Amino acid sequence: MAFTVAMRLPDFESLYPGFRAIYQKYFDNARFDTTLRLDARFESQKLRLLSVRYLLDKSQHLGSEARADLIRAVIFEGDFRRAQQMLPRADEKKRSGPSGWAGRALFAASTSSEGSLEREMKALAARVPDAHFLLMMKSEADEELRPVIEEVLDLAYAQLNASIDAVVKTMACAVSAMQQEYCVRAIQHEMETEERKSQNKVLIEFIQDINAQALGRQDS
Amino acid sequence: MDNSIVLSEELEEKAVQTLVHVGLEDLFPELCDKWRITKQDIHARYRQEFMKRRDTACQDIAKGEDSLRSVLREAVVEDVMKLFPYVYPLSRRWHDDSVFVYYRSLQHDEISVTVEDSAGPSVGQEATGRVFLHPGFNVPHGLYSRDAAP
Repeated sequence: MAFTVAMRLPDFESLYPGFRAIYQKYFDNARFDTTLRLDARFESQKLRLLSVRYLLDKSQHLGSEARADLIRAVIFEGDFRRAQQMLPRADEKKRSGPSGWAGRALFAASTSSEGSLEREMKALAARVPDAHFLLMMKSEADEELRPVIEEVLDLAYAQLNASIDAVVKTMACAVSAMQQEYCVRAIQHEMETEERKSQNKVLIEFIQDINAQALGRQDS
Repeated sequence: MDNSIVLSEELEEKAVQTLVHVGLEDLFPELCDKWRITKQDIHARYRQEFMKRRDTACQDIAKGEDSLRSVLREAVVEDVMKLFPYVYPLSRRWHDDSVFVYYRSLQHDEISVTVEDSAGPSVGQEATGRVFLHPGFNVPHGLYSRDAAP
């Protein structure tokens, strides 16, 4: 039976028991959980946004100029080395509150060599699931980050949409092939059964004709 | 000696076919020819009927492919939404109170019609992953405090 507009997926599933396995196979193979990380642009923007959010969160004492510099260096230039150089100076100059920057110890220990901030941030980004990152960005209130966030969200949306389209396309082909196979088997079975009935009827008629002729010959 | 032939009507086709080959064909050539031709006609007729019905079924399946695709898309989107929820807080009435319900949607500027129509702040809806009552994370501090731990 073909898929009709009125048909719902559960009806279809009960009609074709093989459907669920096909759906699951194609859905699982699509690896939607890793789709976004295969996109270099998304990965780069995720790294930059998470980094800048982390650094801003841990150095809330930064003045607006230093803050803008930091955002520019990380988000727009991807220059982690400059961001790394910027942080201790900003921290010394603008430190406020009794305990200062809570994340300083972590960074002091881990950002001693050149490029280590980027390595640390890459490790941080790798630990943050893409879905979690998107949720965070959706709630991000920093106006300076909004344009980049919108860009990342659009990118994620487009990427997921493209993956969904591709999966649906191949999945629909596989489901249609399964439907065809199922229907052809069912029709074949029905035709064979009906043909067998007709052949049996003709066979009995043939036997009766043979018996009748044989009896006629014997009588004559 | 009685030379009469009496075949049982219970005989199977293969057995009768063997009898035809070993002698019936010589004794009753017209009847055997008629049976053979009728058998071939029946087979051809059902073969033709099979092909006709198969083609119709395949055409019907092809016609339904657009509907199938859109339903599959809905299902895939729902499952992907469970992995990638965009969250929208919307005010809803619940037990005479106004509460914020968080919707999940792939489209980050709108909620799909099906989600909007079926949405309600119930446990059942939460279970589907399309709507949930509370944000899952304390963003951003929940993330940083956990992930930044040495």
